[in-house]
Amino acid sequence: MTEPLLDPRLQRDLDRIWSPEPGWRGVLTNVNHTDIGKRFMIAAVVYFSVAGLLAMLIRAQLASPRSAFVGPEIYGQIFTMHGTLMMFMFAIPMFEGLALYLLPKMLGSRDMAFPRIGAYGWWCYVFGGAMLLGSMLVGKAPDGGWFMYTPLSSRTYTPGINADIWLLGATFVEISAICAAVEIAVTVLKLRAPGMSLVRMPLFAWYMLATSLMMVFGFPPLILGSVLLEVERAFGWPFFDPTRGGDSLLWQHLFWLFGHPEVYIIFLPAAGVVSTILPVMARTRIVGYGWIVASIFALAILSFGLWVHHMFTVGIPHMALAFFSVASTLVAVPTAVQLFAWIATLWQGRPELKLPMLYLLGMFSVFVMGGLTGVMLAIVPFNWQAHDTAFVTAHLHYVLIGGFVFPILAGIVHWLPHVTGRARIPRLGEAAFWLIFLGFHATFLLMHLVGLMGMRRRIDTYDAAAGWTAINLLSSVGAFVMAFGFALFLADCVLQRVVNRRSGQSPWGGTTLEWATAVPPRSYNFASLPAVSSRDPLMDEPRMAVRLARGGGYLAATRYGWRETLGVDTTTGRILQIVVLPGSSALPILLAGATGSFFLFMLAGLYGLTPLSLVLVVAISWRWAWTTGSTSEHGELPAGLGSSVPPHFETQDTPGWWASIFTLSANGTFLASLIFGFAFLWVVAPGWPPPACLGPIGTETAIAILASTAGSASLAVARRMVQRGSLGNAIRLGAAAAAGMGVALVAVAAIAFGGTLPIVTDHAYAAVAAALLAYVAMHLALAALMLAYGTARIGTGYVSPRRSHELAIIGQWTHYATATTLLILVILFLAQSCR
Amino acid sequence: MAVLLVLAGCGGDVSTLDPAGPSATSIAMMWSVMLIGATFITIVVLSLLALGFRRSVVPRRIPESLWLGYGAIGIVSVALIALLIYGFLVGGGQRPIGGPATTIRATAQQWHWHFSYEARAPTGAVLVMPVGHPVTVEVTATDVIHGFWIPRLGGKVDAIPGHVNRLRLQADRPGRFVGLCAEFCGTGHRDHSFTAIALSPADWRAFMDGASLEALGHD
Amino acid sequence: MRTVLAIAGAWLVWAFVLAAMYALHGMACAPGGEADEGRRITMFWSLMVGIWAAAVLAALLMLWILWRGPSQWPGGVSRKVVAGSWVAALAAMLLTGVPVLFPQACG
Ligand code: HEM
Ligand SMILES: [Cu+2]
Ligand SMILES: [Cu+2]
Repeated sequence: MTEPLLDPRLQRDLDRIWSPEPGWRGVLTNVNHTDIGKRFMIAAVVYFSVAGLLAMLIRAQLASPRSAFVGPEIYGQIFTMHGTLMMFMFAIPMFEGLALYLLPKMLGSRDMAFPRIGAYGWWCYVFGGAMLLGSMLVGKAPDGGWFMYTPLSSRTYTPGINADIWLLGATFVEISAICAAVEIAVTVLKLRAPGMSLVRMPLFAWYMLATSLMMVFGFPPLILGSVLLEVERAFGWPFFDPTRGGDSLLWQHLFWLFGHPEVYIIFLPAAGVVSTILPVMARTRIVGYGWIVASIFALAILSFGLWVHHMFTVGIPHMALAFFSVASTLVAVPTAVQLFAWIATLWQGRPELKLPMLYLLGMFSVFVMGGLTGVMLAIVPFNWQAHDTAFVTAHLHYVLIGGFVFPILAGIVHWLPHVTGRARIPRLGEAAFWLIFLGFHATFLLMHLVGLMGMRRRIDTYDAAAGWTAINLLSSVGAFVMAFGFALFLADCVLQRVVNRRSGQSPWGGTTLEWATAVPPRSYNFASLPAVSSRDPLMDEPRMAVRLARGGGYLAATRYGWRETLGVDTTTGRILQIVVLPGSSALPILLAGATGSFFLFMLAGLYGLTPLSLVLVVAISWRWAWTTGSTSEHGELPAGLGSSVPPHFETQDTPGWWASIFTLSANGTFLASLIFGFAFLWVVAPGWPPPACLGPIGTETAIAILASTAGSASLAVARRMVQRGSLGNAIRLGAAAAAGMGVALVAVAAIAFGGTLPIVTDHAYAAVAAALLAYVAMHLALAALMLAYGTARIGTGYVSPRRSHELAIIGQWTHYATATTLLILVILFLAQSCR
Repeated sequence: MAVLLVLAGCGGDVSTLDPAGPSATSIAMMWSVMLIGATFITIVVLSLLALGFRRSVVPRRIPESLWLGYGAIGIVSVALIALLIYGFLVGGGQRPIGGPATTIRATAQQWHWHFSYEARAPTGAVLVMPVGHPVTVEVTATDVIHGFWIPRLGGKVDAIPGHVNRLRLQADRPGRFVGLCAEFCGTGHRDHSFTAIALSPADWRAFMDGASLEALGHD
Repeated sequence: MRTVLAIAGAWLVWAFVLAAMYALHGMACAPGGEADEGRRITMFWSLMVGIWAAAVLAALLMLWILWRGPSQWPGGVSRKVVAGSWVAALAAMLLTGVPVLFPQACG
């Protein structure tokens, strides 16, 4: 057998500590990243199949003119669900799953930084997806197109729950995505192998770091848009209603501020797969590592400056269009850098036409063309003709299937032996490839042309006289060929899992650390943790797997039943702490259930019950946080190979601290989008100035700002007291801080309910003002709650001068609440004179 | 070859490749230019790729800066800047400002169109315009977002409730053109279309003086 | 993380310029207040040019600092990546701002 020799006692101990619980309980409480990652990917494949079936329905409908297969009502649901499922339920979860599965192994860690958050994200995804699928079964699926433009999606024109399903379901899944993003970013920054400085990271980690940061900043605008639209639909607050000071263009801005980065969020992980596999297939190192890193970040941020190119026809003046036209063509440059680096790698190496390589070649031929039509669409006058036609449909599939599906298929073929420990069946995969590849071009190549011949997107049928029949028939035939290819691909994977023989330790000769685990991997990945001194650790030491399995690395012993892995300095990769990870837990599924109940109550119109869900969420989160940390001091613990470091809760630069920073960044982006919305409506929307302005709010503003500042200050002093060891004083000051936040909350509530706020359903002005107040109130309440939690932790012995990192996190949120109170109240104060 | 055959049959009432006005003509031209450029680039990239598998013909080591600096950044940037300039020139010429132009108001609604004029009674769902003379269409909507598009005359602009967008169009020959709603607007989107009629100068003058379309022989 | 910020910073400046120019242009061309439209547009236009120039100067300054190379900056690959990003972002800023040189009001 190829299984390396092991240290049997170490293996037994690790197995006991890291294995999920047996049986059904294990299914519900498992938090292991390998299993959660696999679940994400399997569910994503299921959604891909559903969305693919819908695509087949589309193609069946469009195969011939005047087809009476489905009518426009059903057709609207079909293409909306196809797009929505593909973007939200397939693409994002697919790469999240891949990252969850691979990252810790590639980085040399035993798990992700927050295993329970990963599990929570998975359950949110399952529940949110179930909502969408359920709506389809009862024929009430969303039908406004995947970008849900208002006013078509507002209450007046979509009275049913179709749009609510989209808004709530997508938001739910987005919460899961932000969780995954924070987890991925922190894992890449903190849980690497000792010695793995940033520039020694595998490129996949760079890609995932950039992707996760993009998600942190890219998703909040859509979440905000969805929340506002849902509030408009449910309670009549007119954010997007042009008759009451709202503007449908605000929705478009918020949607595309998310929607364009989203495309790159989908592309970058796939490009990461290419950059990882391609050198292996060419038996060489990647060319231009530094160039690629630079272009990843260029792409990541440039992609935030392109959103307006989806809005070239909404009537924006020509000069502004020109800015975005330039920006949109600019992204072609970093993309070209990557493409050329890949080709250069092939030239430098000795490429072989193995199956993953075949899919990579598929990627090249499809994605390059998608990129070129993308540049065409970035040119304003051409866009005016091509916009909203089949040309765009063809373009987006060239980009998404070339830039995501083909690389992911390559990745699946490449890593499936790692997951299953089995070799693949010859030939089947090649046949599937050719069906997919040829079917794809047959479906979409001439679709560009039919678009320019005037075929609009989203029409359920057409007349024979239009002259589009032949091309559409070809598209439909191609689509079915492609579908057959996907089915064959799936069959190949399943067969490989069930029937074939064991594969070797490293079937392709990969040089990154994931091939230093056992194959298939164990729940703890590495019996002892590797250290690295270059970018290709397995090139330096091909037999590393054996050494690690024998306990020749870090943390080759267990203690206290802890799940341990190493935390490092974010830049240099120097060991800083032993990160103690939580084990199996029912909290993730419970919290997801509580979150889900909120969305279900909203959907059912049982708004009165939603506070119940909030209480549950708070209670479960409290419990969740409480189970971490320790009431006793450990000091420096031996970490193997002669090093000693403290457990993470006795240090400052902890994963939790970073996670909190990223969550606050997402939160701040949410607020910034809301403030942008206010300014946008004020300047652009029809129906301004509003009929009534905010009354005088000077007193309340002053009280709220003073009280929250006092709260922040007493927390700062409380932390100093903790450092000095006078915990009694710290408790008193912590309580005072909570009280300060409470007073500020009352003052804010007084503005909202004291008669100074005009009627919120009358005009967007009052609606946005109320939304801003709600935001402040929520954060003040949250800060008060966290402060209460903090004092309770001090009181029960979880906090000491050494163990004070929790207070640092509470500090971030308290100061954030104070800062937003100041910012928002000043904005509202200035907005008092609105006429 | 197959492509050429298909290209030959690119006509039709709504084909942007069979233009009948200056805007649509310049954009169709632009498409041809870009199609040729894109085909060329695709062939170059795929050839470079294929050469990677012919190790005997390619040099083993080419400096990174040649591939990435001069190749990816240099050549690509030059091509892009050229394309951008071309785009600005074509787009700038189509802006709805300056010059004498007739103004026509288009109002979209689920699911019909309504056209009105400055100095004449409205014509319901038929847009009437002069030949060889630019018109500025002021586009708006009263319920949801629609899109105003006459593919053979030029690009499209969205009809957004609460906003008025302007589009400059011109027809080069008299006749009827199909107009379509381009933005998805609900279950009636597919058939949300209208007719544009371009009148000869004499007919146009008569029309503006109040003659009905029937009287001019268009019904 | 500092390296990440230094790389991202280059493009963040670019993103800031783009957003600011778009916002200013939007305000210049907002409906209403037809009376002193000409003055308003000139004012916003000067602001746009000002921001553009300031950002370009900021990028130049950063590059100068990198070129002088104080010791606290990372060396090796990280340094090259940081410097390359700033050069590229500078070029991107110059290019993105070009349309502002053709002041064509709000058509
Ligand atoms: C499996 C092969 C696929 C086929 C045959 C297919 C086919 C189609 C067709 C024909 C449309 C146009 C519907 C219309 O405008 O009437 C469409 C729309 C769309 N597809 Fe696909 N598609 C496939 C895969 C994908 C994938 C992998 C993604 C994304 C990852 C995707 C994302 C979308 C999106 C976002 C839309 C727009 C939906 C809308 O207009 O609201 N598709 N697809
Ligand atoms: Cu319409
Ligand atoms: Cu429509």
